Amino acid sequence: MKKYLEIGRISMKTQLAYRFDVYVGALMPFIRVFLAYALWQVLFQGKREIGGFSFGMMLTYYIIGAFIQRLDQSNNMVWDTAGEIREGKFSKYMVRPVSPLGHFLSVSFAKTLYILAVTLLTVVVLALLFGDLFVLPSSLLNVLIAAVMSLLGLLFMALLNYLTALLAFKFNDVTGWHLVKGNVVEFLAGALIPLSLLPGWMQDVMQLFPFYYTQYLPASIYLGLNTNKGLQGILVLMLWDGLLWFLAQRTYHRFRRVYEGVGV
Amino acid sequence: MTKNESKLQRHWRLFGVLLKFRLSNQMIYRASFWTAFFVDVSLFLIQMVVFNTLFLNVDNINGWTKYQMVFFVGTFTILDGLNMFLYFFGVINIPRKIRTGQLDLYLTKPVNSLFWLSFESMDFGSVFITIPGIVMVVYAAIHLGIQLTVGGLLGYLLLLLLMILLFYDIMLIIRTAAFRFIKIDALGELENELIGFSMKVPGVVFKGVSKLILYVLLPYALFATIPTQFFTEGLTGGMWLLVLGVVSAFTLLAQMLWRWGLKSYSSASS
Repeated sequence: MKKYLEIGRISMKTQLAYRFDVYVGALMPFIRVFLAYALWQVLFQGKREIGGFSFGMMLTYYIIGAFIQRLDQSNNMVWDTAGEIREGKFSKYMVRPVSPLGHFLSVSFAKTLYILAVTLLTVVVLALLFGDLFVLPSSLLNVLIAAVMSLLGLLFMALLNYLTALLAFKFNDVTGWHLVKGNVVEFLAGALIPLSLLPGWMQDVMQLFPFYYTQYLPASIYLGLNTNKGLQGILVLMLWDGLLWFLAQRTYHRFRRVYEGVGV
Repeated sequence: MTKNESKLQRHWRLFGVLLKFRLSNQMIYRASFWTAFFVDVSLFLIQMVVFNTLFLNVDNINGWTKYQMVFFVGTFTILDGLNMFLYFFGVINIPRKIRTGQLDLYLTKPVNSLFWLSFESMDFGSVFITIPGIVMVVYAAIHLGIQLTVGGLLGYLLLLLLMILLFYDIMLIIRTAAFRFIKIDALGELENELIGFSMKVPGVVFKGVSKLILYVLLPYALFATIPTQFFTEGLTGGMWLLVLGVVSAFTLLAQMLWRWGLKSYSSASS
C-alpha cells in the first residue's frame, strides 16, 4: 500500500508543475454551468417545471454534475497508458514490483484529490453567484449517499478507462473506441441533460447501465429526488466495480503474454 | 518548384502533395480510416436523441422550431466533417510537437510550417460525416418550405467557408498557448466543452453579456447559427458585418500569435 501512496504523492507533485493546466481545468464547471444557464433560461420561459426540475434545481443539477465529472481524471490517462503500450514503454510496469492497475488507480485518484480542492472552490463560487437559485442539499444523509455513490462511480470510471487503455495491447490504436465511449457515457450518465427528461421506457433502460448511477443519480439524490434508489445505486456500482476489477486483472494477464514490448 | 510559381499556386501544390501522402498513409491503416466517422456518427445520434428529448418538453427554442434545429444540427455536422477532414487532427497535434521539439523538423523545411502542420493529418473518413449533415439540411429545408435560390445557396456556402476559417483560427489560437505553458490539456477540454455546446445550443438563445461573449469574444455560437439563420430567416447587414469583422479579427490574431509563439520557441531541450 505504501508504494501506491508514494506513486500518488509523485503524481500530485506533477500536478503542481502544471498549475496553468489545473487552474484552467477548474474553469470547466463555470463554462458548463454558464452555458446550461443560457439554454435553460430560455427553455424555462413561461414554465415553472421541466421533467420534475425547477430552474434552480436544473442549475444546481449541472453544477453538481460538472463537479462530479471534473473529478474523474482517469479519462485523460487512457491516452498516456495506451501510448505507453503502443510505444513499448509499458514494459516498465511489468518489471517493477507494482501492479499496473494499482499504479493507474493511484495516479488517477491522486489527480482527483488535487482537482477536488480546486474544483470545490469553483462550486462554492458558483453557489454564491447563483444565490437563491442554488438549491442546498435536501438532507445531510442525502449528501452522504450521493458522495459514496460518486466515489464508487469514480472507481467504476477509472476501471473502465483502464480496460479501454488495455485494448491497445490488441488493437494498438484505441482512439476511436475511447472517443465513442466518451460520447455514449456522457449521455448515459446524464451529463448532457437530466435523464428524467427522457421518456419513461428509456429511463428504465438507462437504469440497467451503471452510468445512470455515476452522475445522474448522485446529483438527483443531492436535490432530494429519487432518494429511494440510493441503496440500489450503491449496490449496483459495487457489483460493477467488482466485475470490472476482475475483468481488468484477467485482461491484463491475458494480454501481457502477447505483448512484445516493441514500439510501433 | 518553378520560378514563376505564385504563393497561392505553391500552397495549392503543397496541399495536393499532403493530400496524396495522407491518403496512401490512411489506406495502410484501414481501421483508423473510419475512426473519426464512427466517433462523429455516435455524437450525431446522441445529439438527435437530446434534441428530440428537449422538444418533448418544449415547443420551440427561443422561437426556433424543431426543423430549424434540425437544419442547425445538420449545418454543424457538415462543418464538423469538413474541419475534421481538413485540419482538425493537424492543429490538435501542434502542442505535442512544441512540447517534444518535433516542431524543429517543420521549421527547417523551405515551406510554410503552419500550413504543413495544419494540413498534414487530413482525415478522409471524416468527409463521410457530411452526408448525414447534408441529408438533415435538405430534410429540414423541405419541411420549412424554403425555396432554393442561387443566391441563397452561394450565401450559405460562403458562410460555411467563413465558419471553417473561424473554427481553424480559434483552434490555432488555443494551441499557440503551448509555446508559453507547454501543457495545455485543460484548454483543449474547455474547447471541447464549447464546441459541444455550440452544436447543441443555437446562438439565438444568448442575450446581453452572454451574447457578447459567445458572438464576439469566444465566437463559438456563430458556427452553425449564422448559416442556419441566413438560410431559414435571412441575415441583416449588421450581422454580415459582425461575421466578417469577427472572422477577420480572429484570422489576424491567430497569425500574430503563431508568429509570436515561433519567436519564443527554443525547442524541447530548453
